[in-house]
Amino acid sequence: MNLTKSTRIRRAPLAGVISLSLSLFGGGAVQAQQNMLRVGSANPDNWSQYNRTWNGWRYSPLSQINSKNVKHLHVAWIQQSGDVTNGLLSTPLVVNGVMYYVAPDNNVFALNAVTGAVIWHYQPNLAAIHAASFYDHQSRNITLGHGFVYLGTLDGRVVAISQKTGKRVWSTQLTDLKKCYGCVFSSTPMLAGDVLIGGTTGGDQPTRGTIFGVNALTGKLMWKLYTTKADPASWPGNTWMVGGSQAWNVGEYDPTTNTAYIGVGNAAPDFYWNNRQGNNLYSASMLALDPQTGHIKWYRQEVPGDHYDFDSVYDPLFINHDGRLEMVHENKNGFVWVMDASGGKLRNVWPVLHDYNWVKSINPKTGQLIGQMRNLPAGKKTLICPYLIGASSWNPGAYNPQTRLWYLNTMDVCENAVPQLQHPKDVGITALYLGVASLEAVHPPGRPAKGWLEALDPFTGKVSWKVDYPIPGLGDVLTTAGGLVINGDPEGIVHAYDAKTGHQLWHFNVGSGIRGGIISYAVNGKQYIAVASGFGSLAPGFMASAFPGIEKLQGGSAVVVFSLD
Amino acid sequence: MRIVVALSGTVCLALIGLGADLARGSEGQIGNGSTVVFTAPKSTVNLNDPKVIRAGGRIFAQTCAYCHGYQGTGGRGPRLKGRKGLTTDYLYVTISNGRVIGAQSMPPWKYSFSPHKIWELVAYVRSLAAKHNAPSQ
Ligand code: HEC
Repeated sequence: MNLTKSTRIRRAPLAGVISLSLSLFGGGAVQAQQNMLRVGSANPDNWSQYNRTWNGWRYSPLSQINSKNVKHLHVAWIQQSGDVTNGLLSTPLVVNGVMYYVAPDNNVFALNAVTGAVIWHYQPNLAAIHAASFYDHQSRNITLGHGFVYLGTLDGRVVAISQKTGKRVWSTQLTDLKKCYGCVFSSTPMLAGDVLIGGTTGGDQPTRGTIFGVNALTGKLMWKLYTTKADPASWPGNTWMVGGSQAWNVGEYDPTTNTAYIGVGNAAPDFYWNNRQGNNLYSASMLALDPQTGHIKWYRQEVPGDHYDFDSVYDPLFINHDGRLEMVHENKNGFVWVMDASGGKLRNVWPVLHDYNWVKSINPKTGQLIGQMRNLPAGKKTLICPYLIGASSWNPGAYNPQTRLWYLNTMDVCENAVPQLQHPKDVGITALYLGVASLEAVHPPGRPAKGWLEALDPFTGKVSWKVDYPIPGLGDVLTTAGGLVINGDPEGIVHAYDAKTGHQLWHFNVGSGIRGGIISYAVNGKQYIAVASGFGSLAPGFMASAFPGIEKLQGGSAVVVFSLD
Repeated sequence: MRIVVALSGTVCLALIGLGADLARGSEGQIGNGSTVVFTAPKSTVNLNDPKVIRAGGRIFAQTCAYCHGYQGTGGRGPRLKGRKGLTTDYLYVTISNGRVIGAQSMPPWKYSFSPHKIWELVAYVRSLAAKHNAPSQ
């Protein structure tokens, strides 16, 4: 326990973990080591939060559908959301026989999880300015709690909807899209007890990253945390005012230590570093926050001085290992940081990809970047591997406590970037502040761009099995106690694999690619598997130059549910 | 309409509830209460001037290539290189208003770029269309 402010601040762009104000949690160390298996197996019939349980596993403890009978799966029902713009990115949630999900353009549905019948449908009356955002239409998740469905909106609000009636109870405007370009909620804040915590999109615009804490009962704003530090040593001049660094993905909340974990995105302008040479805190960092105040308990900056668009926003996993609770966190850049969950102490760093060029290696003991590609010369073409979509997209993999394997969609693609100074005032409301004259996804040198699903040891990266995909998987993975891994591809084929061997046991074409969640739940003793089908989002557009097959893929938005008999 | 970037980095925190619950929202895709651009205004540039085309190319690489590919060679948005039948009026109107067709969407650009810049983009897209011997009109 450490009640003092320790300042082990390392200079310059060295990866460092800094303990700011550890500890409201006296017995925390002991509690933190509670058996994650209990957490991951709790409440087996429901899928009540984004990753089912706060440890980020996306593991269903149900086993009625298993490796022996999965070949008999058939469609139980399909629900079409009607609005298909940019595809279905979200993860359906199920509590006590009711499914809730958010479709494009903030359309929220409550469905009978046995029949698919609509119980209610809600869509906020969005302020017209949402249509001027680069990130319009898309939502990654909704959050359940206190009898509400919480929705982060495309016009910068958080709305609480009654789970029973589908009527709005409160609505809080958090950002002003006229001033903060692209500051829409593409993710809904996580629920940390009575506090909603989350950030907005807009990290590739000239904005200043902000995380909000909102009272989950009343909607009142409690605190704001700016994720660009107003510190010229970190951000020369006033670059922090437009440094992006938005926490745009869904966070995770550990109730046992009362800690909210949320990752911060890339620094902006994404590829032009010349006038912001510094470590650019807290861009590309994982933060552990005190929910009541927004205070940073600890953080780890994975990419100091990010100028590759390497967000640290992906969902971490929490796993017991050698008697400790470890956080396993993949950065967009294809490295996985293994850290002590209670203080961020580094245990290991390992690469998902064999080949990358933005750094030669990362010291697994200190996190120090070795042989980093520093200045990207302005006006000159530089090849960067991996590219800005990442070694994985933002969609989480899944961890199975039976196999102790982590199942992750991965890809190997590079980009040619020509960095260029861009003046913030010239960046229009809808435009991007990437700091490039040109940017293109390309094949890695001497090998074709490709994607695969792999089963990994989360602490070392040792590969157990691997399945190649012609176009990289961009959906969330599911694993179950029935010995299954279920993954959907961009063409719309849902695959069930043996979790131990990777042997394909079943597949089904749902008609449009998977870009969102696959979950499992049970009602009245019967297990179901639900797939969010509907290709879209912005990533495929950028990927298409490396994977021309993407051009022909059909969009959509439907929940397709499977069962036995 | 042109919105100026606020450099202050401050975020508006007005705690106001906007809008009512709608059974189904009916806002158009155009946004911000202003009118749809139905026809192109008179061109302010010489569409064949290489300088104008280069200026449009710079904006395109920064803003449009993300979806349309490098030099408009395709992406999720339609291929623009070597295209036939894209009239200048159509280009101006489509770039200004944006488009949603099926699951595909392009945001409007009229809030980000002046008519002059949109004309530069039109000139560049025309030059792409003209490649591979495909006249733009
Ligand atoms: C977010 C992705 C995206 C961006 C960024 C984008 N577009 Fe588009 N654009 C699209 C899509 C998708 C369509 C097709 C809509 C449809 O099917 O008609 C489209 C259509 C078009 C068309 C009409 C082509 C046709 O076949 O009718 C033109 C011209 C165009 N875009 C130009 C631009 C320009 C110029 C820019 C930059 C200022 C730009 N686009 C930026 C996605 C994008």
